[in-house]
Amino acid sequence: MVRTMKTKNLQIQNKISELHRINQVIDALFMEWELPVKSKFKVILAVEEVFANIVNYAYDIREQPIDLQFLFENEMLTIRVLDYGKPFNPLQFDSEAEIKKPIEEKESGGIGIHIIKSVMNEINYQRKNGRNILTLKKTF
Amino acid sequence: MKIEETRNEHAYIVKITGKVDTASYRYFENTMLDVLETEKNVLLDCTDMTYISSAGIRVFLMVLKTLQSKNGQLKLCGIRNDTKEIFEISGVSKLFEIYTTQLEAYTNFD
Repeated sequence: MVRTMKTKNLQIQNKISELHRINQVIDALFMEWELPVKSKFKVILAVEEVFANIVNYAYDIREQPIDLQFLFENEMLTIRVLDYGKPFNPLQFDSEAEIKKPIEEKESGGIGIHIIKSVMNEINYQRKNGRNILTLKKTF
Repeated sequence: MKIEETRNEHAYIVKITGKVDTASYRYFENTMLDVLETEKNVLLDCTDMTYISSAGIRVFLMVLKTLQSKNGQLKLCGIRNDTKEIFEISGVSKLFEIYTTQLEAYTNFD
């Protein structure tokens, strides 16, 4: 059996305008790696929510790089997102409680984390060498 | 994203075309803040809204909350299945009155 591993790395800045570039890369990956199109919006959504959290909460004003690493192996897509921002572990955020809150108390960050947890099969957080490393896994 | 506004005898209709994401939601939010200054009955036509993320959902919640606080009404129509799934995942779909077509939504405004 031939096992193939496909990878793609992308470095972006912590600016909202970079979202278009991220989406273009994910679009291209789904085509090149022949991933199931029906799952594409979920991957785009999860990556946008992670990116938006970093841009909105992790950094102060300075421009900083964010690294995105995509890896596809054994029917599993792994996405690692690395940033140098403040420590933030989304797994510790109680998104279930956030979703049950009345409308006036809901925050978009909380909804975003709930979305990430719902559309991905596995999420892992590490703080290492001054970086937040969030790993998302999606099986097809 | 494109936004088209129409008023008829039933409601003020805002039709969203394209993606409401982290990069585009502010335009949608600003449009809605203007609309909310004068309108009480609002229909958001989502027939051609192809995508929404939590940034956009937060605007939908803001519109709902504002209209509720002044005894207005918000209705949604034409949401596509994949975008509806995002509302469901977000745990907010039950908060909204969702109809299939504009016509169906009109008949349900008080």
